[in-house]
Amino acid sequence: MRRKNSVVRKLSISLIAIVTLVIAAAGLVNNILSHHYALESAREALKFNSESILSGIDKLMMTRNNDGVLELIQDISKDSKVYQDIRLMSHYSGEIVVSRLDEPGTILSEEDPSCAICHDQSGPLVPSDAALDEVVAAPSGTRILHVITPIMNEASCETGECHEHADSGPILGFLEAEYSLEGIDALISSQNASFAIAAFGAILLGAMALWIMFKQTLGRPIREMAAGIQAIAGHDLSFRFNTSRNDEFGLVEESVDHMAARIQAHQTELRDAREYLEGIVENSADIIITVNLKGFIQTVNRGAEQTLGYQREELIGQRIELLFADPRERDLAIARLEHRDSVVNYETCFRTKEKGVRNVLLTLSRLRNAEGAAIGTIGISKDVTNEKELQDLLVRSQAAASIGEAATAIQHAIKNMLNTLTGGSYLARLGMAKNNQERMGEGIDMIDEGISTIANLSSNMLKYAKEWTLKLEFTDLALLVEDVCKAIKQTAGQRDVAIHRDIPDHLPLVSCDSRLVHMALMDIATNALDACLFKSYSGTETPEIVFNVYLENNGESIVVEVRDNGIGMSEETKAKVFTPFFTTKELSGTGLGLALTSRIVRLHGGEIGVESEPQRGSRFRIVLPVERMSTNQGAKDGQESPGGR
Amino acid sequence: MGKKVLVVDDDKNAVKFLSVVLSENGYDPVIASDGREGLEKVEENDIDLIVLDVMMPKKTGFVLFKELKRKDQYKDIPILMLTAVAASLGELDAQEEDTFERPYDSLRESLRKTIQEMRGSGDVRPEMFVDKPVDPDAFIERVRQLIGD
Repeated sequence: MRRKNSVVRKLSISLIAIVTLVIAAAGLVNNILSHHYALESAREALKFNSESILSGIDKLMMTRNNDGVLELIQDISKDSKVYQDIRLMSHYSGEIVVSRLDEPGTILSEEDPSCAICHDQSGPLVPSDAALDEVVAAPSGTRILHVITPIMNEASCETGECHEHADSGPILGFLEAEYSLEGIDALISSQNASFAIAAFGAILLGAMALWIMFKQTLGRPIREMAAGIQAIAGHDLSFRFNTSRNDEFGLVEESVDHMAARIQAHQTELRDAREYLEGIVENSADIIITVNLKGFIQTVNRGAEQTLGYQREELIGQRIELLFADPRERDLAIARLEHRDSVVNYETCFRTKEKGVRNVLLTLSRLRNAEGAAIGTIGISKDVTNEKELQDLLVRSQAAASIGEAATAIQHAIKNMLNTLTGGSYLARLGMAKNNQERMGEGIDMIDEGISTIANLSSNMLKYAKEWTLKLEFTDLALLVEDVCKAIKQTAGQRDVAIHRDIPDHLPLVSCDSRLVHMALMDIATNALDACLFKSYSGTETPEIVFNVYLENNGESIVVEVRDNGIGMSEETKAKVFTPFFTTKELSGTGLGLALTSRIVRLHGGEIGVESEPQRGSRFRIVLPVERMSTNQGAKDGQESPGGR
Repeated sequence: MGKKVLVVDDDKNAVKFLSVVLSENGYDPVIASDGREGLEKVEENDIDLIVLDVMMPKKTGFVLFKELKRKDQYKDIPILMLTAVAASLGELDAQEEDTFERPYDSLRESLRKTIQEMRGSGDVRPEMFVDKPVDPDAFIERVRQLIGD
């Protein structure tokens, strides 16, 4: 922005105003003094003149040569430019005789202003306050100096010692002269004019000199500094004054140089750091995209370009939903962000430019500015399409294996049951043939048992196969565990298995289908009992089962843990415990219990896990979410565990 | 008294069934519900034949089998192995290694491994297996072949 030299101008005007005032004051004083001294000089000169005139006319008056006096005065004033008027007045035998130049012999009345100068009314001579000389203005405007000079009597004549005469007073009369001050005034006026012209010239020259001086010593360095600072402000941080000045401006320029150097160093550091971070982002193989608060793409890295097939120019400014195979997925991910700062490994699908689909794990975080206000989101997505395909292949091959396994297991279970039925039939026939009622009864009991085992298997298979609807209600898991303990108490007592519980008070209620969770816990508890039964305890060790319930994950999850010190499992067995039809119990198990339990837990959005060591025991953990927002009605296999796998 | 036949099976119905079949045919059945009890009964009695279920808690049939074969005084006692999957063992045996196709086929796989291992030591022959459900006449025929009346 262009600014006027206001500092220079203000300084110049201030100084010039001061100088002008000083000069004006000096002029005024000079004028007053000139007037004063001119007047004083004129007064002195006129008094002296009056006295000279008087001494000249003294003798003439003594000799009463009145005409001579008149001639003398007229001679004096005849060609004078100074004398306006000279009047000689005398007291004659008590009369006042005025000898005016133009009207000699006039007799004044005692009230005449001329008399009032020395006399109070018509009284005697008084020392009047009135000045004996005064400046008066003539009708023409010219200033007049009016001087009255008394004509003193001779001391001897005053007393009349020598002879008798009429005038024996001390004052014989007086000379009244009026002098024009026109000449003096003209001189002073001309002096004043010269002075004013000189002063004006001096002020003008001084102002110019000051202006130039200030411009050079203040204006130019300030403008240079302003230009330099503007260059720095305009991101030319390499600008330096490199000043050679020794004055205050040099000090300021040095400071600015220092400041610019530090800003430049900071900027370099910042740029390096930013380039480093940008390099990481840019060269990451992951898809890294930032989005503003309105949902428009702001930055796109190379990983995103390579994975999705777009150039970044095609994406920046577009809505982020463009990239989601199902645009609603974006809203779901954002909804998850609502109460936290990041969503980790959200499974979703991106659409590539060629309409292909990539499976990704999206980690979404809020972007915040220095004040902590949200300014958008950053999404880092890992392309897991290949892993997903491999996983699907694995799941399919596992499913194929499971079917083969299940076929073997079902064949196995059926053959065992057939064996029971065959045995029953054999005993019954034998009893019939030998008319042995007891044997016949044994055979029929055996057949009944075989039938009930088949019915049980069939019912479990049905349960496993059907789609379930959860009947959710708020349930106290501690009470549920209590029920399970009661239910297995008798069997445990028979087998000398001790049951312990470690359950804190005031656990939150969990929204779940209590009947199904009870079934799941019963299954785990029964397995634990069997595990104790199958183990030969030695030394001081006695069989025991411990139930633990506790909160985890900041109270968002509740864990039910069932620990036994039974026979334990090999790695191989452990890997398959949740697979349908897998069993280690040749006859008593259908191989469906833990598979059902696992399914129940997953239906509740929970997880089930097991740790085990052969001969040391097993620990089953059921983790359920404490708050279930949706009712999960009609959940089906494959949709039942969001995020879980 | 007939010859002593030890029946080891955790399924009480199977034990009952086989012991009745044996006693009806003149044998003296001794019963045990698991491998450990089976070993005790072998030590307590002069056993002529052992009928051993393969899958049992505490000690599986195979484990007891191996223990008996290691002891000189018992290693010559003939043994019949009871299994619900014996019929498929021949088929399993014929199959090549195809673990990628069936990585979790644990039951059959573990059986196959055990049998292979025992075959290596020359202890197990296919004719030693009796398939469930047991046919009483065929079973007694096998018993007779091994120990006579």
